[in-house]
Amino acid sequence: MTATRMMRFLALALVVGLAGAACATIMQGTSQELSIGSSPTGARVIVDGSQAGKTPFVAKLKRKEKHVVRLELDGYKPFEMALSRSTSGWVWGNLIFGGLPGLAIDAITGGLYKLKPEQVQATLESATTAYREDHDMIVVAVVLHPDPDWQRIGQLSRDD
Amino acid sequence: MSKHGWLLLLIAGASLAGGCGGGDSTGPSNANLAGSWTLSASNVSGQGVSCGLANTPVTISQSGGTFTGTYGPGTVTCVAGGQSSSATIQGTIVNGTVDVNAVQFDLDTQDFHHTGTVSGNSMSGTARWSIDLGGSIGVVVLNGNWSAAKQ
Repeated sequence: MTATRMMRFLALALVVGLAGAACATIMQGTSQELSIGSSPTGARVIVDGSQAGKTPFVAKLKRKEKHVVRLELDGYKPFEMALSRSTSGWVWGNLIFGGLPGLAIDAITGGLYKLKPEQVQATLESATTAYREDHDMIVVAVVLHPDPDWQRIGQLSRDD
Repeated sequence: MSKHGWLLLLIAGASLAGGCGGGDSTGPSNANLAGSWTLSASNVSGQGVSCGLANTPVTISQSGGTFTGTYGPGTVTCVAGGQSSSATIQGTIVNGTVDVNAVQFDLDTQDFHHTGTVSGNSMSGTARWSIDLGGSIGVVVLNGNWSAAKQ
């Protein structure tokens, strides 16, 4: 068999294989991996209300469901993001090979969808401020574990 | 009042108290759904496409009037215009409630909603599947029937 004939045979086999199939379900599966990171690391990762791990973390999420990712770290403001769901490019594969039944199957399994963003990287904001002005006063926070980004203006020493 | 009079009054009072306290004021109890079931859905159709779910194993955990569980793996098949497509699905049963013998639950999301009634070791009802096909087609609502048999 010549190389050209071999290519034609493979193309035909692909078409036959995909005919009537739910392309997206086959090609990209019904779940999507989502990389979740934070600065600083070690934040609790809460997906849809359930604690899943700590950053950095890779969550495997069902494409057909709507998800909310929340990051919590002591001393920092919580970060929350709702993922959006859109139809993936495999919808075109279905229109060509699987037709309406393939499209419906992919929507039922969730394989039709793509979750966005594909990764979450959050810079967590400190929950406490070191300095603020209040009318004619300047309020300075005194803490045991200062944020490294803060500027030190003084230090209290223990008076024995 | 005579001795007999007091005795009659005592018996009447005790009977009344017994009648009030001993009655069943809780009403009919919820059907017991906990356990293993086999779920099927048929002719869930709309917009020219018809889908079904064949003999899918389901496990239910119940707590009072609510329940959760898992389903699958099962085969879902859709047909339209002489074409057919199928895939294996599995997931979780959410938002399950049972009120005496009225039951409702979703497969994974509210987009796959089922309502029905329980009768002994079987239950059945109507299914409403909302699928977002994207693009210019948008959301298509499929309606059909479902049934389940306890194993």
